[in-house]
Amino acid sequence: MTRLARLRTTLAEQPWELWTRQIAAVLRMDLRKNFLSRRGIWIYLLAFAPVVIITLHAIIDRHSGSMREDTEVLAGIFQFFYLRLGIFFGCLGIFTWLFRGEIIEKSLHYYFLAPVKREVLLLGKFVGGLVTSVTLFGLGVFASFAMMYLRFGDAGQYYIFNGPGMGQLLAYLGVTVLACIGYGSVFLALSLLFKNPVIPAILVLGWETFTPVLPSLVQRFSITYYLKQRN
Amino acid sequence: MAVYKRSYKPYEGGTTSDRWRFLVLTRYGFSGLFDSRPFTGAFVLSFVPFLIALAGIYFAHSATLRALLQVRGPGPNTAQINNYFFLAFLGIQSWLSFLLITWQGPQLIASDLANNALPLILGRPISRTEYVLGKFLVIASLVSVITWIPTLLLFFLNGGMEGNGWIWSHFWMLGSILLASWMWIAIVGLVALAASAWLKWRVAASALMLAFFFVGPGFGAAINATLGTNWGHMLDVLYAVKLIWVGLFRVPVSTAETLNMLGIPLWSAWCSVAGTCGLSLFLLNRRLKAREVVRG
Repeated sequence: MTRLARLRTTLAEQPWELWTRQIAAVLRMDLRKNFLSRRGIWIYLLAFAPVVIITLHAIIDRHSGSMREDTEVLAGIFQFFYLRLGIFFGCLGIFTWLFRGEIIEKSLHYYFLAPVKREVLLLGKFVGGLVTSVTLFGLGVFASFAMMYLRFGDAGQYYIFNGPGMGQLLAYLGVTVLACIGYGSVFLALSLLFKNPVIPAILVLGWETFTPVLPSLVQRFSITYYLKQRN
Repeated sequence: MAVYKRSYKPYEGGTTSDRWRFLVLTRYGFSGLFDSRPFTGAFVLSFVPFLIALAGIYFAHSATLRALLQVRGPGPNTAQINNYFFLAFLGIQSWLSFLLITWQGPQLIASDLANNALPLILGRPISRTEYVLGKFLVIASLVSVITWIPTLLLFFLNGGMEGNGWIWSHFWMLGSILLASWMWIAIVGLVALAASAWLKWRVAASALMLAFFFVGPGFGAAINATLGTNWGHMLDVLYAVKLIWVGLFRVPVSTAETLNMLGIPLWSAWCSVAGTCGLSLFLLNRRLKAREVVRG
């Protein structure tokens, strides 16, 4: 039997259905904790704060400004607020809490008492954090985009559906998902390795901020580098 | 084994006077801070810039040393030890102190709240104000040792080596160093205590503190870009601090303009700083009560 065939047999023998059900159960519990807790209010603020500013802009400057200018402003908000700060700190809060929160609330052992593999638990938790962050920040980015072009009426609609607007929106949403995966996995790992993951997070923030001025080879070791390639 | 009768005996040692009782909290706060070895190491490392600056001042004034090391070309000269030098040094030290306070500062109150110790402490003859003062002094002392004390040492060292009445002609800088440092101490200290009081988990408090100082500027920049104004800087307390420091250290207007430091007027920067401190005090006042609310 070749190595590939052996691998295929091993994979087929795994209890995928059980694991999927277990991941779904962990996911359900985590989503309830993430979306409906008082602790998570600040993440909503972080995700939707630019929407408030853009709405104000739409009300105050409704008779002035061009679509080109607003497109540049939206790109600036996305790159400098969402990517550098909003998603970074949002993921820091969501993903470090996944396991550290259970340790603080002394409830991690309940998961370990259940017949769930630790890898499955980790995956379930990660998917839970990912769904939360992608939903919140994706909706934030989408609402910002919609509010920015809504005030232009038919011209805005034409720009989105017949011009480059839809492509830009999909690019923003795609980069948001990738940023959540990238930062989320880093912060989940940091929360498992360090008792206080904030100090390494400061180092990550510094690294992500200053790598653009470093040689291109060094830049490849930052998440921002790859996100910029996709943007 | 003999068992002796153990009856109640009142404490017979000396007691701290009422006025200085809050210093007990400061003392215990310090012992908690330096329990962490990595933190102690980072604290020691925060003096590296001081040693470099000290060496720089000595090197600038010592022709013998420059000759001994056979330095060719224009080395640092005494004219470079000016207000920019002290402003830059204070800026570096302030960042280092910010990192240290973000690391360990939030545990000061968070641990008391997490362990339900606040009612026990406030049940003793210590008022809420004294409690906050005691905890604040921990941060104030730590930041002082990193910021204004080494800056003043450098100032007097340079004054001593320069001679010719340098100290008197630059005496204004003494006030600038002290005012700039104490403003920074007030902001960092109060924000750290407020974050610590509202979040029992100290890691979350550290993250909140970090987010306050970094997300505020981002949000302010978003307001500036979208609404075509400069008033978004009001949400950026670091910008306000820089603006005030530039004024205190008498940086010329042309230089401040090139550094993009004149976005908002000086009074609004003071308002931003006062607002930050006021909000932190308000949050501390709301949170620090000698009772525990348990939500079912």
